[in-house]
Amino acid sequence: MTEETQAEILRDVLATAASFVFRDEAPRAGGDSESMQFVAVIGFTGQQVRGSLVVGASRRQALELIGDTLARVPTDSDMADWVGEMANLTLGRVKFLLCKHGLDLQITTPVLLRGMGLVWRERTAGCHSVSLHEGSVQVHAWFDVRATEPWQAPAPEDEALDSGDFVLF
Amino acid sequence: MTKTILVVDDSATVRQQVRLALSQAGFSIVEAVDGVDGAAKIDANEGISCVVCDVNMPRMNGIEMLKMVKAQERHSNLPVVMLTTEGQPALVAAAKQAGAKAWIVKPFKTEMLVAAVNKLTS
Repeated sequence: MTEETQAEILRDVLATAASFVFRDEAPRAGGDSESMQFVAVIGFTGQQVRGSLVVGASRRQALELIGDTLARVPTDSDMADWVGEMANLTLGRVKFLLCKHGLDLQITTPVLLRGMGLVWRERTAGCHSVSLHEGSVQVHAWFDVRATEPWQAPAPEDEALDSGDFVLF
Repeated sequence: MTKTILVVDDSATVRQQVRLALSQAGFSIVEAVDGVDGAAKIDANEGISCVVCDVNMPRMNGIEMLKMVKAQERHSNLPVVMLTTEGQPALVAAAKQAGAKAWIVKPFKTEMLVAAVNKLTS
């Protein structure tokens, strides 16, 4: 598998995964996407890939994302935690999609950061990013992946369970 | 009599979501923040009817907690529902072998979780 094909798959996987978690609607004017206040970082590693997923949102974005889900006024801790859960769901989806290419990932628990004017600086040219909108809310996800070797495209494992699947044993 | 459900998840917002869903269905909720806390709460609360447990958590993950709890005779019949973003067949099989009764992949539908807990506690 060529590096270009790998990159294309990874871009597509991230866009698909993030779109699954955040609805991708046309943005309204006045979005405040430049300055993040809540950031979640999840590391992952596998036999052929390793890297990290970063999801960032401003306070206003985080508040809009949570909505009335918690049935109470969200605290700063709730907002940071929620962004972490969004990252967790996104990477879970990435993992499911990559499983179809025979790639298995082990993932860490999210590291949550809270601060003012946080800005993501891309470390490598191989970083894939998507910017998604949900109404006036814009969320960024960066997928920083390094292939440690060319993908061998091994036979996919048994079908993994997808989001929302429910199995009673 | 109100049945008590233990919710084990390192995310406070997920615990709150599960708490809302299950308390509206008539259950009483106890929360734990990771596997270590979860195992301790199970030991300390004889009245827990069911456990809803995440997999990826700091200190002790959900599968490790499941194995530790099920290794004790008195908890062998305690139903455990795994609620996670994971869907890898190997993990699902490991949970089943360790004694889990259900596996739900996040994001979850509230009615699905309530149905699972209702079935396992009836």
